[in-house]
Amino acid sequence: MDNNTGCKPEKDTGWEPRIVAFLCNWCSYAGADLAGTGRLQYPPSIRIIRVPCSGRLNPLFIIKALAEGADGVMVSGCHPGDCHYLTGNMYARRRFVILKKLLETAGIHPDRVHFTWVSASEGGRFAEVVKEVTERVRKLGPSNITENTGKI
Amino acid sequence: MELQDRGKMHECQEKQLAGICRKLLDEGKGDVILAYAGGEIENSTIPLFIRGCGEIERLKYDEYCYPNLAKYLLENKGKTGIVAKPCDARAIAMYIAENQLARENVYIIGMECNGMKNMDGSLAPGCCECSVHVPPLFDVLVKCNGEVVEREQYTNTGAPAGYEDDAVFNAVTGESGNAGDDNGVNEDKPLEDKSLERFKKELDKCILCFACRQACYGCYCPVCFMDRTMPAWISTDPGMGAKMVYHLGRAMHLAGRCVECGACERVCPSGVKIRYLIKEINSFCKDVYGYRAGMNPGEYPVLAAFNKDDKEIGFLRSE
Ligand code: SF4
Ligand code: SF4
Repeated sequence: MDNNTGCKPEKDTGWEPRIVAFLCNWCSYAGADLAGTGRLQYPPSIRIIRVPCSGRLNPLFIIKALAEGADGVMVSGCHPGDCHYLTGNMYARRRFVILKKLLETAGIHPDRVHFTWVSASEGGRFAEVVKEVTERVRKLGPSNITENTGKI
Repeated sequence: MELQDRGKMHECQEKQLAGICRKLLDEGKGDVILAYAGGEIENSTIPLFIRGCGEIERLKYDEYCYPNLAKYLLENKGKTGIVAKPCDARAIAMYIAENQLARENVYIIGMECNGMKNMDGSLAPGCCECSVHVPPLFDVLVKCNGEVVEREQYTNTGAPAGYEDDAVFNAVTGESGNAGDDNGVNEDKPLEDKSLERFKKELDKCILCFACRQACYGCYCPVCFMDRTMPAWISTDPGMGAKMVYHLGRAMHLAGRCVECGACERVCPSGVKIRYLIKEINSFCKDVYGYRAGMNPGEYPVLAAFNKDDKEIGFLRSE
């Protein structure tokens, strides 16, 4: 990983997971902001992409990220019932459950893809989630899904 | 069921079918009837568009009527009749559920079905594991023994509109045969092997010809995501990544909508057997959401609906 992220590569392997994080604008992105303003530490392994709503997330985004060589993908939206668009995350929930099952069937380790809910007031939870996701992906090692590993 | 019996069964059905088509044309219930005709190659059938009585002569119904004709319905705006096996009828039910087709514009001639065959005589892909032997949706039903039943008559007898499993089927028809029995071997039983190697092995064979997409009833988008250039989902140099995006993307689009007709596997020129992905999702949807594609045209497809208390299976830190 290069230095513009301000992180040092892991000493022994020199490898750090690269995780694409899709965060919904209204809750999780604000939650990430709160973690930042609260000076909470979390691993710099995620690359955040802001989406209007977790319901905006086309499953192809996740598939494409994995195919392009991401070591992991994380998706976070508002808790069910708190969606800015009322039902966006309700539709997303089914989609994610099914997508995760599909990826598992195709042999992609379930720990590479994570879905969760983080609200705008949960900066602490956001930092915890990123830590957990990073740890789980780190355990799996670099992505073995396509030949694109390490390119993103 | 003995092979000869099967031949006879289709002969009875074919005879009835010709009668029904003639009646339909006479009564003006359809400007065109979609049916099957013998193909040039032995043991094959091609779609037949019946517009006049002359074409009825060419009508054929035997154990090689594997094509799914439902997709042609989308191209005809007027009243259309269609010969529908259970999987075709399920496809039609999905079109109705997805607002692609008005129920009153289609006249469904349902065929009770015990499985179709590949050209080489083996059981066709979707038929091996098929458990729906009576179309869930029809206007008139031609049974295996050649009996013709109208919809009203049928529902009056209290029989279920589409048998869910063999037990019911056998109880109703009083026979023990089901689709899997004559050929014994059932190559693609739900597979245990869910490894990345297996997935990649299948992908390796794929040449991205998109025949599977063209054959699938469910792939009717005017512009498929694979053909888009803005954004382009695949690079111009299609490798493993492109195949993965295609097959996982298609599986996701067919999630809970696949009617298990097996067309995708049958048409593949390189023998890619990737339908296991969609099959797994289908049984998952049935277990978790109690949804089965095409069994009820009034029901929303599983991904077009939600329930406040849906389970968050596999979510991180779900409370
Ligand atoms: S995915 Fe294959 S089996 Fe399912 S409906 Fe489409 S063609 Fe038929
Ligand atoms: S028909 Fe076979 S080779 Fe063609 S795109 Fe589908 S799986 Fe690939």
